[in-house]
Amino acid sequence: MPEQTGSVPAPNQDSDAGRLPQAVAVAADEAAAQGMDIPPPADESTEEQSGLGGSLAEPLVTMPPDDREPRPLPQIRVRGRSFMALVLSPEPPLADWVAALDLQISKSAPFFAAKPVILDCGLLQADEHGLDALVPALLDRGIRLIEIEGADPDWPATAGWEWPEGYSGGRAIGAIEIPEEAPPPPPDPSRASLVIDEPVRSGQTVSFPDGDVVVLGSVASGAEVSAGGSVHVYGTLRGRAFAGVGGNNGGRILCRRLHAELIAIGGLYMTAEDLPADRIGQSVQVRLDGERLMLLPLD
Amino acid sequence: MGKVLVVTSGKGGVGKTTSTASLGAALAQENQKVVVVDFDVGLRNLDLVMGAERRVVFDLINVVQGDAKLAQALIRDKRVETLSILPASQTRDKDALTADGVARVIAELRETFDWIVCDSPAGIERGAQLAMHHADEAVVVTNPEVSSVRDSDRIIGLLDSTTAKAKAGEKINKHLLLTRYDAARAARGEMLRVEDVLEILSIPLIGIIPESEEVLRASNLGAPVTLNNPDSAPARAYFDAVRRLRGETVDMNVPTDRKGLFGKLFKWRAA
Repeated sequence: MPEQTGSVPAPNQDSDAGRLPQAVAVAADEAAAQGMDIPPPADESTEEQSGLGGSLAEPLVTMPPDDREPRPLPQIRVRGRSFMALVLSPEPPLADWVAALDLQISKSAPFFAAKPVILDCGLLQADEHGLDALVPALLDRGIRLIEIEGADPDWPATAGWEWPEGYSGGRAIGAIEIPEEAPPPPPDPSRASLVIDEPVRSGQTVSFPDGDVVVLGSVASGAEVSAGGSVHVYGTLRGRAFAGVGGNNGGRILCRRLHAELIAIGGLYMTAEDLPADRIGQSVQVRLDGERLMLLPLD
Repeated sequence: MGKVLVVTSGKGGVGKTTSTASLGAALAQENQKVVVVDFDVGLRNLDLVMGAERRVVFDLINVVQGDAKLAQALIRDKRVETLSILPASQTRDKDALTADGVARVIAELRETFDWIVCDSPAGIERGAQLAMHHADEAVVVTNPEVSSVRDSDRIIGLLDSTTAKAKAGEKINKHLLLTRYDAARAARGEMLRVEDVLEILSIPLIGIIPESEEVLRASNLGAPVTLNNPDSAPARAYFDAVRRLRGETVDMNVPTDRKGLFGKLFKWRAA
């Protein structure tokens, strides 16, 4: 999370927020909501950095106040945002509970990903067998704890836990159904690319989220090719091509002749109308340069 | 065992029925036993173009549903002995066609005829799917304009994915028949050029039928153009197409009606 500032915890930002120009403001919003200090925007260098939005590589640096004339400071905009935290209540015996958790995660892998989780130890005793390993086990499974309730850091078993900086309160909203979905089969390395020997006809869709798509013929108007990696078209690309679906911004689109209806990489798209005239009909590679699609000649 | 040939296009009005009648008649004129089958249930036209509309008693639906025997529904052409027509029903719709019934009728026709030429309805829905389902070969009728070409592309995709042969992992032979082609307009850039269409569709070209009044005249007289005026430019183009369909190598040119002036010789045989 590149936009996270040094002093502001921002546990709930999804990575897409990084694309939005107000990303830095979002972090500040949360800090305000939690009653924390907002570093005052002191001079141009700070503002310039915040203008970069998601591409901030370094934490926002608060500059010491200088001795120039005081200027009117900008208004701080504060907006509210709420996230739902999940509450996990382990039951004894803990070994069985962790096994059950693993089974659940295998059925619905993305459910706990990127969600704030509160651990409620109310059902457990201080001398519960295996208690010391509970929090490390949860962290190992990628569960992001934001609060631990019903346990005390003074207990011998819990002293070694990583205690998150606490959130408290909140409104309980009852049990949540965990959607079950089969985990995606692991990508077969021999199929890191999908090769289509024939033209992709109008109305057909070729989708390969695990790697590259190589089309030896043309992609017709009204056809769609999408790839987790890059899209290669050795004929004419007349339809739509989506590279880097699933957020791989390194995906590219390469075609021998460009007459595309739409090209997109990592969600950034360009329609036929926007294609630069001097690239149409040419051998072209398309790649993502920051927030821009770059169309480069291939020859 | 006869061959099933579907004449299809996706788009309407490009000349499927005219081409079905002309190809069917031209095949029969070369002493092949041919039946032309109208799959356009509810919007039948093939009987009109073949001049058989006043002799229809039973139709494809009656046979599919078992209300009539195939022999009762087949109408033998009066001009060419080896040519028959199986008309569609005008009063029913495409839901009356069942997959099993069509399979049975096609199997029965295969035993009697050398060629079963199926006139597909426009569109990509049930009627068109059933018409192409049993095909061994397909003639994709295309006009040299963008919407027709795109629809043809869609149909070629379906031919490669939904037909019985495709599902069995086999390839269906696809041929491109370019109709209503006007060399002068193509030269002026008002139509897609043949190269462009071939480049987009990338299937072998089986014939280029020039735009001609003869086609309309023949249709209105209830005769395929190959029977009505065998020496006309479109008729010659259909005869050439039929020879290519039967595996002969024929130079590709666009016949014209102007005497002594042959169309430009084209080089493409296949895409």
